[in-house]
Amino acid sequence: MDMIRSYIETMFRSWPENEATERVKTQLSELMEDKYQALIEEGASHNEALGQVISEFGNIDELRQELGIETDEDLSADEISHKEREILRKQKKAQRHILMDNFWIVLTVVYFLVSFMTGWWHISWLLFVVAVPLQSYLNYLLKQSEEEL
Amino acid sequence: MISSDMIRGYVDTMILYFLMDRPSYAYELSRQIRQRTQEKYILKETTLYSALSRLEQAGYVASFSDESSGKRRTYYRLLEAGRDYYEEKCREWELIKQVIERFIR
Repeated sequence: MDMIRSYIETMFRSWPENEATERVKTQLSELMEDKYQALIEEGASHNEALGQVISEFGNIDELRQELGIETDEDLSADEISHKEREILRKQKKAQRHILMDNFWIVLTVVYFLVSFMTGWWHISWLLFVVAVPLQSYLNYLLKQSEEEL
Repeated sequence: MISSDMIRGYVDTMILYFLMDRPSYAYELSRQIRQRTQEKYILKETTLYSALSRLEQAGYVASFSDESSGKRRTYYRLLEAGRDYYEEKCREWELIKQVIERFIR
């Protein structure tokens, strides 16, 4: 009975595709089709029979729990937060790259500003020396916060 | 209307009652149970399937495929352990009846 098969396919659409699921689907289809046939033989119309068979289907979530099967709907909650975290991580990474690229430009500007303002040309070059490990450390810190996600 | 929570513990017993006599398939069991409860209890299709699956997992029944009736169907037959389990459930019910009777007015 095509309609029963379609009903089953729809109800089980989020179940994992494996032998266990196929077994449940086949067995339930057998039961429903037999019931449908019996109702027709007792004089029910196609709609009445189909209606009764479907109304006596039961609770698919209870079935899933009983059989201990995880569906896509369960997994997707995890998947979503995983995806969210991935996106956040990518954003942070992009931000970090932009910051690092601009670091040296900013540093040069700071160097000139400081030098012109203080006139300490003889030591302001040290800024560049200090900046090297500083930039490494900053990169490291930002990377850590990305990993923590 | 019987609350499904209450009857849940005895769906296995209902199924095994019929399997004690001879092997059977899902729809036949469903029909026999319905008849025997005089329509007072309607066993949902998923409930029946869960019970059969559970009974098989527990080693109380075994399933096999059979086409002799014309259509290919999955049949279930009772195993020794299932027979013992059924007896247990019957004794359990006797006990429950005795206990609860004393609280019914």
